[in-house]
Amino acid sequence: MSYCVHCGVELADCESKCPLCGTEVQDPKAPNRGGKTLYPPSPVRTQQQVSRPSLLGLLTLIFLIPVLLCIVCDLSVNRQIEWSGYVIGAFFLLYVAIAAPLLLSVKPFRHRAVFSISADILTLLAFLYYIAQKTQGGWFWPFAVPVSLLAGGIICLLIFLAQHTPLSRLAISAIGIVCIGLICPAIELLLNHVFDLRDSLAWSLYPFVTFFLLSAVLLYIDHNKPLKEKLLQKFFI
Amino acid sequence: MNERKLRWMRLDNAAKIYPAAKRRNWSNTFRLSATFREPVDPTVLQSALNVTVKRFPSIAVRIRRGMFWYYLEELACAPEIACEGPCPLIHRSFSEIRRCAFQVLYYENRISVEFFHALTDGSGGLVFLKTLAAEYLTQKYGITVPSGDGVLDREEEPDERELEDSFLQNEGPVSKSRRESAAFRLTGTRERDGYLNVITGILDVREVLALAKRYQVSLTTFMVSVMMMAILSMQDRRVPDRRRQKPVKILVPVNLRRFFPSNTLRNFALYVTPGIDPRMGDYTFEEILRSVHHQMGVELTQKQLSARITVNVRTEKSLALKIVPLFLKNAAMKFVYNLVGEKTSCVAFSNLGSASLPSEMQPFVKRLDFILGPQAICPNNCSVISYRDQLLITFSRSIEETELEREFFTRLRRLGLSIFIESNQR
Repeated sequence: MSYCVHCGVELADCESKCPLCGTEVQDPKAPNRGGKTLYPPSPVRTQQQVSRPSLLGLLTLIFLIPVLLCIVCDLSVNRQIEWSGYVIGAFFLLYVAIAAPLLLSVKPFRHRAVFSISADILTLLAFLYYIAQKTQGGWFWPFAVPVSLLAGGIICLLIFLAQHTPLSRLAISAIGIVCIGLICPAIELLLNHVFDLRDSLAWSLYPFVTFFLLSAVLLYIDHNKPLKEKLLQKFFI
Repeated sequence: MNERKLRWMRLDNAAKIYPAAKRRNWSNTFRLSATFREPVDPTVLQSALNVTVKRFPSIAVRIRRGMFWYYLEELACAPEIACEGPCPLIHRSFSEIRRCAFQVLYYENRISVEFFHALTDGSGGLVFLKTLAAEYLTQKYGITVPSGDGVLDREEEPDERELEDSFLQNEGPVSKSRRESAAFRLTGTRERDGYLNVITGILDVREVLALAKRYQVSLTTFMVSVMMMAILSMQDRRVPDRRRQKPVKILVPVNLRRFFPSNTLRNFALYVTPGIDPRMGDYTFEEILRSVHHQMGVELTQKQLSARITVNVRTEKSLALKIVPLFLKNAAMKFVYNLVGEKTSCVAFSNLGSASLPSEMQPFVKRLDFILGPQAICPNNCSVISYRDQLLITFSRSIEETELEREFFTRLRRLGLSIFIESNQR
């Protein structure tokens, strides 16, 4: 007979560890314990998992249905690709947003999220380029490219901070909010430059100041541990 | 040729909720087992089952669907016995239950019967198991087992009183509200493959009775109080803010045959839910014992139980409910079950009591087991049976964590009881 040194209960011979606390059974007088099990041996637990490539295949087929339908409708009515180009572009953007993380998770590597975001930004730029070409808009290079790259860069920076630095979520949120505040004047400057609106900053100063103050509040809370605990206690969900 | 029409029966009052409350991966089941001193002979067991089922037309049945209610239909022949799987109470789909609502299994020295709860309760199931074991021993060893001690004469015709719905016979003049407060809910990480974990603690029944006697309470009250202490400490860890804690309540099924004259083999049980509210302050073990003792004393009287039977029976008899088609009734009953069914208690503690066998069977039967399957949401259940000097406390759980079992058994250990533990851990 063997006992659990932790719980003090006697254990059946078939138990290699205590069923209550998981402590390994070590009985020097009976090193080769092993009695009849209570039930027939349990088969090895195999959890069926859907492979990533097959999931990707299914996703592709699902996306192809509306895309092909749009092409057929557009061609049958207009005899050329007109409005369906925008729909296809939007679907492709959505497809890349879902499929890129799936594709990159087949073999896990360190900067998966950054690569996914980069793929999304590149697809977005391609889609915007298509729209700019179709509408003869001159805004793509001077406006769409810098704004998209700036937004993508900020997201990548936040992901990098979350994954590779010991900064708290609150601090990272504060940095994110400051970045949003900073991007507003940049967008306004670009708008003014590209579309000849005005010479000075106007609306963007309001979100800039608001986001800056909000970020300062978050950083203050993050550094004040007792206040952080109290707020967590009051507002947890 | 001697042909006879297969019997059919309405579900009894307590059983009506079980088919409606079933889920894709859960139905309310329990299991009773007898362990012999020698390995089971499957051929003899099948032959014994073929004889036994004829004596139990309310248990050897399948569930069928009517326009307004489910009903039971007697099986034309006994189901085939099967070898046990890696865990007890492996989920059976409802289409399987509609083919046969119970199954007989064997493994090494043990025979087990798993019942869908709509057929019978623990007491009725135990009579079936004992009679099956008696027939098996008769065929295998040629012994004669007389009827008595819960063993029925297999040659006899079924008695109509064994098939009655005793709830309907014991409806009283006054009904009592079913309203109850919500209790603390146990949670954990669900076993993904539906594996049912079982831990059985075997104690010396004389030791436990002596300890319960020292505290001047019954064995059930004693065990329920220990369970409450265990759950209280679990809640303290999970919800440290006392004001946010919920009452700790244990569902204790009550065999109504002790209070009302009945020979039925169908469901005839109600439950009480003794509990304590931790928001009121700290409790000593003695305080809990006294509280549970008095709560059980107030609830467990014929008049109180009759009032609770009445409210259930009146609901069933309501014309407005009767004329609703089954599919709507099912949806409504499932909704009500999900809303309140398992919220009023933390865990069930079902004590089948002291099981005895005729002296002719005792040399062959080493042990009796009782396992209550977990509920749909509440992941733990506890069942107790005693046979000869053994008290078997079996915890079933559908989650990975063993916190409740560890708290419960280590508390018993600290009270000075010796415990032998066995499990089906992987």
